[in-house]
Amino acid sequence: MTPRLVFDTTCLSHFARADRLRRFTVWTGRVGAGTRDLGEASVLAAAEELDAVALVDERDATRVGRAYGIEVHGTVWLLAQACRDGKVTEVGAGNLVDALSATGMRLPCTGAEFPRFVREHGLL
Amino acid sequence: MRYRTVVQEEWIGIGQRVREARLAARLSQDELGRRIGLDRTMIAKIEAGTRRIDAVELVRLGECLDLPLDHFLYERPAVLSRRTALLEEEATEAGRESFRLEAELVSWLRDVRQMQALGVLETSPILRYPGRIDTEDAAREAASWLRGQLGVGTEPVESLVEVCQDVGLLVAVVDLPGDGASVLDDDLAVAVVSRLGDPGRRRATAAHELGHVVLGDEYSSDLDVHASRAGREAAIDAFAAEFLLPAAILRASGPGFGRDMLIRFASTYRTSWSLAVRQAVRAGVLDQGETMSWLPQRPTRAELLDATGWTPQPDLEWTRVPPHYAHAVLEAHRWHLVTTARAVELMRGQLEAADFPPPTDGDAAP
Repeated sequence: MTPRLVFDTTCLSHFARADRLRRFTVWTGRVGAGTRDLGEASVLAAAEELDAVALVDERDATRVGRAYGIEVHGTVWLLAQACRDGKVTEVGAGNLVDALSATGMRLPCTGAEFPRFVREHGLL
Repeated sequence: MRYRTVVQEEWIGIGQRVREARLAARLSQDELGRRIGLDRTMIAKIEAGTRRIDAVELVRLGECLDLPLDHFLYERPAVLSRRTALLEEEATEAGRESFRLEAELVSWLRDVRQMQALGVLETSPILRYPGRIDTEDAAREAASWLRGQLGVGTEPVESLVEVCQDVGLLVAVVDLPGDGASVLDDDLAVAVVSRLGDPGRRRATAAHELGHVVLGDEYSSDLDVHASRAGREAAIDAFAAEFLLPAAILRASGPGFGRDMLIRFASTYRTSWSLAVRQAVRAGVLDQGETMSWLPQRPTRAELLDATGWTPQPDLEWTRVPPHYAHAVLEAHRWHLVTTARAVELMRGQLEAADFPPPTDGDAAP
């Protein structure tokens, strides 16, 4: 079964309940600072509540999420999953990596490095 | 009779805290609405508790009103909420200052609680004076008692932050106007001290908050002293002065007491000049009548530094948080229980991101 996934910017509106807002600020107290890194905090809070996988590309927040027992992965992991499920080719995934990097997303490899990177990390 | 549900009560509380924070920031509903992209009528409904807010709006409120997000979500500790709330449009400047300092105090309390909950911070039990404090003299006696308990005799107290920590009071230095405030929350006492005064004043404020805790007061804010409490505050001030600079040591200074000698005391005991003069009068080495002529003769910075051999004094200047707490934040960071950015925030300006060690596990798995 494909795990449920929570990814960036999807879930801030999920919190219009006081208990969820509090769960959210518990996470801003771990990965936030002032009003920074709130996207990561919201993803981790929602993943915890829904028992889902958190999709986070920020390494510091990833470590912290895992320290509290959340399953956290990045976009490259997601693309590797898609390759494994035959939804996209490795070349296609590599192109997506480059396209996302071009929008300013910080990913651990380039499109050309993608096939080797995912194998080195046992994702494919 | 209509009953409100728990959920409704909860949103009414959140709404009240939004309203209070807006008034403290001197904003109208219209103005706040414009800044966070909501109509005035929406703000009115939020404040009435009839419209809920989502995380985006909560974040905007926090940003706009310069308050931590939790400020809106949680009631203040009971001892604080018993005090008059800031709910009137014509709130005074002092009231607003007091509100900000109190919000900072609660935020500090929450951060300490977070470190405790993570199991990285152990705090000392609160040390309480067993006697009764009904006069200023009794308060001075309590100060001597505390010096005895700490084993410092009549020596200068090096780090007030550390002494407070040992006595069970965690002090943070904050960049806000006002002197300071402290609160007792069950078994935990915390205080904030403003960095805006000179170092001598900061130490006097910290010693004052220490007095409140050791002498058993639940809450204190120096911005909020009512006439009925003036006597109590005077006793606490007497405690603070005696704790910082014991009259006995001035009395023992021998004949020929002069300005140079008092400067040496003010600098080694790191007190403000006015506190040193007042204690000298108390010790009987200065006449009451001389106070007025001595007070304006404040030493310059060079005179004070010269008297201590030019040693820099880190207490409440470089030090912003207690050593045990600083260690706890480092531990929490080491175990990835908080991010570096959050750790910097928890340290309240004592450390920057570059000061933290890099992660030990290299690159985390993707």
